Amino acid sequence: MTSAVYPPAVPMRARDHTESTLSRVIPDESELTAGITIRPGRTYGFFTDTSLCIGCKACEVACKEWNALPAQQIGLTANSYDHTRELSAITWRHVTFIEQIEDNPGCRANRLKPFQSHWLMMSDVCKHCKQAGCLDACPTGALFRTEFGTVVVQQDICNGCAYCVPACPFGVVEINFSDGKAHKCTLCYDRLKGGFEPACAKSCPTNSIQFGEVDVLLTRAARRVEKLHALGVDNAYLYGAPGTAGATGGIQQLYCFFLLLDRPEVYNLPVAPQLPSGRVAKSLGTGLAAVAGLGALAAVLMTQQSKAPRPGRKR
Amino acid sequence: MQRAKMTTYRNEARREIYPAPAAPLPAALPGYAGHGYYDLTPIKHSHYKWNTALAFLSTQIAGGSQIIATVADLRGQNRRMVRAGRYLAVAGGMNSAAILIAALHTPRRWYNMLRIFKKSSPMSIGIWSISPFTFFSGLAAAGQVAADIGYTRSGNWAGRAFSLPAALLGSVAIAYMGTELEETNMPAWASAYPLMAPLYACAGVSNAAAALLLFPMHNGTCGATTASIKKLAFVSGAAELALGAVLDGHWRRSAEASAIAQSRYEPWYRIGFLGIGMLGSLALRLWDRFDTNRSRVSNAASVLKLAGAMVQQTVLVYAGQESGRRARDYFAYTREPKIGNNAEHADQPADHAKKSAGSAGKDRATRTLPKARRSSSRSAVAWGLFACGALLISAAVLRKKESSR
Ligand code: SF4
Repeated sequence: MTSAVYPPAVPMRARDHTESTLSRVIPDESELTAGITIRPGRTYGFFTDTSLCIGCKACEVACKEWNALPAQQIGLTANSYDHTRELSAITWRHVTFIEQIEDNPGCRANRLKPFQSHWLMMSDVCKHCKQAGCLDACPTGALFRTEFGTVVVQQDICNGCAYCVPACPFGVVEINFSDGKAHKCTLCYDRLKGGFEPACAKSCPTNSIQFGEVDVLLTRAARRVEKLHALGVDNAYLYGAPGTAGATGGIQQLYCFFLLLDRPEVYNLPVAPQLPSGRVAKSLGTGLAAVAGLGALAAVLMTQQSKAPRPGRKR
Repeated sequence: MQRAKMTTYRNEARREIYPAPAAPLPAALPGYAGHGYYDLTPIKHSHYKWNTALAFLSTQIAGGSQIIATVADLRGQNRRMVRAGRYLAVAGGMNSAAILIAALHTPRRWYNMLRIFKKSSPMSIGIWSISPFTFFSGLAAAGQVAADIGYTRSGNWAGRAFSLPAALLGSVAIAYMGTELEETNMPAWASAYPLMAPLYACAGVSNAAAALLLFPMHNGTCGATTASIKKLAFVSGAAELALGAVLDGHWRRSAEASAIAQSRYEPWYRIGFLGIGMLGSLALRLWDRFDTNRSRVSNAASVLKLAGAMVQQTVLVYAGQESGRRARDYFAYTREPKIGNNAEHADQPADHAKKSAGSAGKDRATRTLPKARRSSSRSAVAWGLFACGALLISAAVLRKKESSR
């Protein structure tokens, strides 16, 4: 029921549910939608099961709507059905569409694969890394680890130095040139605080995006991989769980991890990403050793000059 | 049947490009096909531009000048050189700070970088070295001004007291820039580990020496100091050339740096920086024979060196940015697994945190480097030792030559 009065030009469908009919917010709504109670101090993340993704982009839309993000671009990329192209400062969920028609190169495929035909779809997002490159690189403290274990940018602190951008091994965080600040997925920090499931996970119609406590999700994901293997899908594996591809080079674990069905590169994910900040001390130490060497050399050269002024040459 | 065979052949061909990783990826997957997702890059490129390159050069000159001036002061060298070094340091430091602040996307919030210090962030290390460096350099320059207007004793004392911390901070300022580029995910920069920081350090000293040699020193009174700075410029330039050439070779051999080795930046790096900037200036320095006088040849060497340095900084900044746009470079940089068996973790998710915490130390830094990169860093260390040896030998030769005169 809505009390608003609409001009007759507004179609009936558009009038539906324009306002909430609830008198108050449902406390701990996530118990109803995701079966979990959100509490600070626990670590939350997403398990994105790409074997269930149908590419409906409900997550992209829900994310844009909840976070009031504008459209990425208007136009066709010619990259299959993916016109969003990539994660960016204004796109925090991105559905990749991978059409695999190599069975009959150059021609229309004439034999469907037994599983998911020729399509792979994946809803990509910030991985909320356990050791996050962006967080380590930020010199202002604008990026911080929340009480839910996630990584969030505070735009009121960020000064747009953009050093987090090349530090992220997954190309997630980006500068929005209209406001000069870094932006990325917050794992719906505001919703988590209010006891709501993140918008993308709530909107996912196939449960491809599952929200929950990371340890619980890992158990669920391991069971899902076993089940898929038992069904004959031998190429199913986890990306970003501890000890798997994606959780490499010091990153340790991705709190938003994936079940993939082809090589990571196919989904535009690196096999073995690196945490850049792991080498800072060694790198700087090497540089300082070089400066020390040259400083010592300068001292030697100048001692020699000051001790032995050359005859016939003025000082 | 025929199709199954074709698929097998194709998968084998793929494996030849990059062998399928042994551990975590299922055996059922084919090898890397040589491309990713519509050839879109999986990372976001750095936003550094020419102004960052200019700030880097300015920081090098400032930091190096302060180091040289402080050593010259402690060694009782000519005051004119000390004065020039101190003034150049404060001017360069202020210039770098101004450019770096202007390069922020929200410059009015620059001071937020001074809220915290993070040892994991090279940029934080840089800010916390450049800011106090400029502050102490300003105080040292003020001492110099006092000495110049008649308060000789107290001015010189203050100049020395403040230039010591400034020189130490200047050392960090000239080394951190290499670290700042290296510790990112831009394949061309990241694959330069661990040579970038020493390259910047050597460049800092050689560029500062070149800049100082352009100052009018009144030959008659400053000759010996001028000669020693010329030698320093030569030796540090030779070390920089060696490191630059090793990096060039590494970039050419590796698949991670096509943005620098196979792009429009390549001739600029080779001809502009290594050729004209480095070899040209070193040849002119040899021709000049480390004469005690300022000469046109020496000035030309300095100008070539500084022009080459600007080319080098610009090429490194833009090629790094370009490498962030090349998906293949990034997949080459991240192609090998550095991890154990995933089954171990998949079965026991409950205690994963304990395990990953235990392996955290191991999982970081060079231990995680794939074999190919480990061997490349080993060869880098070997080259580093070689460069140090070359430095010592050239110093010894210079010394011998000097004493035999
Ligand atoms: S995926 Fe990138 S932006 Fe997200 S937490 Fe990890 S490093 Fe930061």
